[in-house]
Amino acid sequence: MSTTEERPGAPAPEDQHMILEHAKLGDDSLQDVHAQLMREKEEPTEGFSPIPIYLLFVFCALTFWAGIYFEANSGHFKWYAYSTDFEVVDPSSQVPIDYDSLDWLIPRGERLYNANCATCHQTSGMGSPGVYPPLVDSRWVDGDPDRLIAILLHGLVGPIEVKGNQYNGNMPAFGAHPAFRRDRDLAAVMTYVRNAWGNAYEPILESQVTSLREELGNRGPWDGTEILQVYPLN
Amino acid sequence: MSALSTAFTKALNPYKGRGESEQIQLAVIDRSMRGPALLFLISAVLWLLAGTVFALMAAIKSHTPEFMAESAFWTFGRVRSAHLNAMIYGWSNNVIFAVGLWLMARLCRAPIRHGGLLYAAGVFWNIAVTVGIYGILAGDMTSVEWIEMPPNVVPLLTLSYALIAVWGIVSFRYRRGEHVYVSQWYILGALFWFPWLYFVSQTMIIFAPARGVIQPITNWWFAHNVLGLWMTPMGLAAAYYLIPKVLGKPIHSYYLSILGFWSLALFYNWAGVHHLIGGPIPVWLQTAGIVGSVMMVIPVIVTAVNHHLTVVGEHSAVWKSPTLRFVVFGAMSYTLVSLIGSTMSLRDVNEITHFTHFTVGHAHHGVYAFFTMIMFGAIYFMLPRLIYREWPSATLIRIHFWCCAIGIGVMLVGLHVGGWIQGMQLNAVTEDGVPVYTFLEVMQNTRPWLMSRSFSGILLTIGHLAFAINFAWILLRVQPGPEASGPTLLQGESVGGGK
Amino acid sequence: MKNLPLLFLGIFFCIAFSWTGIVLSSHVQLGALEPATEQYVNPNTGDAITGVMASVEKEDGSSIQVEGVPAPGETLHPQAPVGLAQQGKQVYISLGCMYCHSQQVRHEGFGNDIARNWGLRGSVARDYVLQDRVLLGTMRTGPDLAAVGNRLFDAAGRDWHHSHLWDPTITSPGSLMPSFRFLYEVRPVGSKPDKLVVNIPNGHPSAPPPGYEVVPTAEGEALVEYLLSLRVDYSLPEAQLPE
Repeated sequence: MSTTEERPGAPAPEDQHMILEHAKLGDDSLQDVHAQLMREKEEPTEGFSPIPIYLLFVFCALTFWAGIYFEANSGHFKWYAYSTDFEVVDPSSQVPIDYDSLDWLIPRGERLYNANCATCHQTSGMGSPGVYPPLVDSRWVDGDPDRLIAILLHGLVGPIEVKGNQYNGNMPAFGAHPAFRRDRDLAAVMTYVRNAWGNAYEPILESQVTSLREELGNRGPWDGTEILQVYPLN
Repeated sequence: MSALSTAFTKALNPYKGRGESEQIQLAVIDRSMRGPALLFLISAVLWLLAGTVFALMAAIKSHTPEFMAESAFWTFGRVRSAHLNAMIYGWSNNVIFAVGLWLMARLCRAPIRHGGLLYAAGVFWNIAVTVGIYGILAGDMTSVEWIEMPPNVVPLLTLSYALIAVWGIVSFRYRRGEHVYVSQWYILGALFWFPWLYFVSQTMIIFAPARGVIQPITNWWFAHNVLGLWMTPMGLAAAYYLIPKVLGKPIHSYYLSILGFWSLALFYNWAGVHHLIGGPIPVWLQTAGIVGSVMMVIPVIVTAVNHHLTVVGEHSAVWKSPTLRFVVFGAMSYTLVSLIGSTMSLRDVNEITHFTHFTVGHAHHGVYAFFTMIMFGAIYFMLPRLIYREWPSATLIRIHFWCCAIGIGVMLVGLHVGGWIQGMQLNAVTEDGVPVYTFLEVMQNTRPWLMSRSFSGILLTIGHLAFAINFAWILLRVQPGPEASGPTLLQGESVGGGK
Repeated sequence: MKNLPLLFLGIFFCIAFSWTGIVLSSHVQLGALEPATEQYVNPNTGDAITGVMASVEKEDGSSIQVEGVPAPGETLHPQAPVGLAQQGKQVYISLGCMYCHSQQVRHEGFGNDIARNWGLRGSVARDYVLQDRVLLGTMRTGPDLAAVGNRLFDAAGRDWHHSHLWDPTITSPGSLMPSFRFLYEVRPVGSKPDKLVVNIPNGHPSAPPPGYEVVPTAEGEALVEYLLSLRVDYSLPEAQLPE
């Protein structure tokens, strides 16, 4: 067929048969076409019933909800908001955390103690008679912070005497333990131990832990006599 | 001859109205589409069978992991992706090319011209998909959902798509008559949307990868829109055409059609991000996805009402016509799957269903129970008109319908219930915040439900085989049989009911 | 519908709208994200800040909010995957592991991911900025792997992964994961070159015949290195590890 016949503007109805002839339908296929035509209903058309009014009400309500919900759960459109309860914090009102304050050290220390130390020394700090030494009212905990820090950093093996009882245990090193990722975590747990259960000693600060860690470098666990030579009980 | 044909047509045409000239036009158009449409349909059916085999393998592997575990070629991750790509780019796109172009040509009253280029495009498309799926199995998969095929087939796919889509647009350009029917809007939109989606996702994920999570955001914008802006419009276009056509009555309301089309075009776009709820993307994007998904209620209800009010009172005709039985099943599934989808996007529900088999079930609900069923119906309508033969066996059509309807029903129940249990058990914690079930226990508890999916796969396979046999039969039968007396119907002997 | 320009325009507008809203705007928001230190510092004063935004005083005395900057000298996170791990990611991609294993941890209070020990904190966009292909995944037939290196590391983790890939039922009885035997070779004991021998319990159905041992292929080794490299054990300004 030539393209001119197909342009919009449509051939008149009487041309339709021309198209058929142009399509080179033989007699056989013409019969096929007629068989086909028998069953072909009109091309679809559209009715014009109005949209039910109640549907429009429902849709308006839905749109309203969508607006409210979107705004309420948008996280203020911040790229760093990953949860619907995200709140924008005004940085000028921010007070930097003081990691040396008891308000930070004690609660954090308590959590770390209960998670990592209480298995042996008990939540009461009393230890187990003959197996794990007590931390309450103990001269090992009291006094020179460096002794306690040294033990936590590198561990302690071999016989020791605490409050008149002999212990021969194996205190692990916590200096590289994954639960104590920063020196302030060690500071927190020691400060807690020195201030719980009626103990009332000076807090241990992150800087103290860090400087002793540098001073001691890499080493194995202490044994009971060695540590008392370096850091005698007072 | 023209005088004869006029008289003949007038005598035989039982229908009133615009009369024979329109129908002769249609016959000419059908003839112009015959070759290309057959090429696409045959490819589509072959891909359907291939995809079914991959699906069965993946289904069995999901509960019996030792099955065919010896070779990397058939490992689960690859077979499952081969299944998806065979079904989307093989089956769905081929059938869309056939049905979509044919509908467009018919509705525009414009025969397809120079159909030869369509053959070339069809051959290229199928070569590209074949190479792509082999690439997936051979280990060149991209592991980006819905675009797993290796990047080297993308240019060929794009080229052949462009060659095919341009025919739809050309038909539209040379349309006759002023009025543009609702199906045409959907097809036009889809033909325009798909390349945009495909190009953007390939560029931003594969060829010039965007930074970090922009990739999955683009990925889900694309993947969900392949369903929402490509398969859904084509499915709806077919339904909007076939329901009034077979019943011989107008679509209930033009205004509902308009509202349905524009609300779908506006909201479906945004829904894709709901695949990343709870994920590492800004919360406002997640919320946008939820809002888009929930707002999908509007087009879905509108379309459901429009279709329902057209069909109401004609239920026996629906049941009798193979076309309408499938199409109405698909249209009803569309309503159900979309409403479930809107619900699933809500945070409280998504917390449970995300990452479970519930989502897998939902995907099959959309692509199979809605889209594929409508396309089956469209093929039952289209093929007799293309080749002037009738479907040889009503029994095979019945087997096809029941196996597919029951099969997909079993799969949906299995995956939805199993997935829901899986999600609840994964999230269950004791008062102390400790998970109640170990991961292995949860996984074991999904096994019976995964087996029910394999069972449904057997049913679907039988259905697809019945369809393929009927399809081959109608194509290969040389002798025109008794079908000249009228269309193949599923009940009764009456001829007048249309099809 | 007769107004065709409107139809075309509408079709164009709808997709352009979502493309701009979803794809482009996320590109604007996240496209320039860089690795950062665990905490930002105020760009003017150098003080550590919590969160992302710092308050900076201008010359006229008013203050504005600007994004903080990484603390000088501290380690940046995330770090780029290197060498063998990067090759292993290709194996992970080519086998389609992500269709059963997600790589994203949902935040505390949404789902159960953290209680299942799949991660120490919820994943955020910055965790992924150095990945050339982001494999978030949407399915958990298997556990989340975003931070599998936190749970399985060093030599013990390497052994575990190899046993698990050779036959998942060795480490996880009842697992639905297929075996990845094709990443291993069975060879007579003592063959060269020396390789890590997969640890398979005696008498296990998948144990090699006596006198034989199971060793990973190059692909198997790379895949395990990739799994070991999946660690998220650092804080980011917008996502602190729980104190």
